[in-house]
Amino acid sequence: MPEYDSNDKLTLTLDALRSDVERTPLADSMTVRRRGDQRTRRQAVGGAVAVVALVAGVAGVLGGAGGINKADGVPPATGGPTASTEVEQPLTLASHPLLDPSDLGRVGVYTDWQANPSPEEANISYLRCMPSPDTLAAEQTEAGLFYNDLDSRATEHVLRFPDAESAVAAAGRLFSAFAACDKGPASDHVVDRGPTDVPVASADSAQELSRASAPPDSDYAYYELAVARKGNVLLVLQWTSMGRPDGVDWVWDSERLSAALDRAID
Amino acid sequence: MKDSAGFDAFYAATHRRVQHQMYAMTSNLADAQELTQEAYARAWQRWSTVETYDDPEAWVRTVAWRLAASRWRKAKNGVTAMLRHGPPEHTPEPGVDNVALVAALREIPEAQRRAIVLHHLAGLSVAEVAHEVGAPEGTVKARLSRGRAALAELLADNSLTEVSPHA
Repeated sequence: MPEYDSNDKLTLTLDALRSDVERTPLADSMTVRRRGDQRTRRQAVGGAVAVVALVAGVAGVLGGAGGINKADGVPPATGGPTASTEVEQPLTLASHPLLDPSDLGRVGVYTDWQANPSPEEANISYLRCMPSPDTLAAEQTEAGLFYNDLDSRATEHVLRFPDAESAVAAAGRLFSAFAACDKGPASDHVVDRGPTDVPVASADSAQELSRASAPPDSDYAYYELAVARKGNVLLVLQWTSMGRPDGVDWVWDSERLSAALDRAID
Repeated sequence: MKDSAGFDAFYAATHRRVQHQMYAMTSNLADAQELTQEAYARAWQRWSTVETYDDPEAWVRTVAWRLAASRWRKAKNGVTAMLRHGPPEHTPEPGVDNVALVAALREIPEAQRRAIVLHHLAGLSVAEVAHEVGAPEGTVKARLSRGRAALAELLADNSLTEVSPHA
């Protein structure tokens, strides 16, 4: 295959599309910046509501029905714009919210995926310390297992919570559990990665982590967890195989997480 | 404080190019407009970080592409954006000379189309395309080869498959 050549016939052919683009008006940069600022404000409002709800919940617990004691110097909320009028409605799950096996594609040597939509099969824990996502008290949980003829397994849980802060808290439980995970006997070789952010355009947040662990003179087991959230919907993807798949940095990369989130939400 | 002048200069220098590439990728002018605007809006949100990247244009292009892929999976997203931001001011059809090309681009698989656009329009090397799409170089070469052959057949133009002297 030739390297890039600006005089290549196909390049020149595609360049002809420029004439269409040039007669298309595009917003000026100020309009685009304003659009970006609007997105930032919406996201900030959503986050503020989560914090307010959390504070209110804590206050309710600490202060009873009376809320925060005025002696603490925190005035009760009065008037002002109600953030809830600007927050989008809770998201609902799609009628078929799980990945299609074809979305997984080839992962190293692993391919030809089949789906088992049985929640029981998907609720197996690959790390004993990790709570199964079906125990996170979501209002709705959809789960499936993906398998093939080799030794890898992938599970997907799509969880719908009543609000975003519940989804944030559930994600926090997963990461806290991993952080507290026992690394096994001192003789075992254990390598953890993450949590690290994953760029997923449609998500409010997305993070992943992995653990490779092996007893002495043994092949290592590879585990990967990715958690993406959009609003009140939490997506939990897990992977296990003997060794990290060849040529794969992260199984749950941006593309697969984007595909999963797109399918999950109505 | 974000550098709005820097963003404006970046936008002015690159937005037509990105929209051109997105037009070739999506075969739809209205989609290309909307995706390009949204990607730049997101770049502005994180501008203090994005402007430090080696190639902020590649970041914008990748975001626009992911938005397009997301939209294809769920057409509703496009409706949501349209409701939120209003329809593009003007969404012309392809020019007479480009109707056949746009139709041909729609016919080839997404992965081949993306490889062709990145290589032949964005000017990326095979290695750079491989890095941007997260696929092995051999896979990118195969996508380019098949995409060229498919476009040549659809456009009845065998010269599109000729090997460049810059091999």
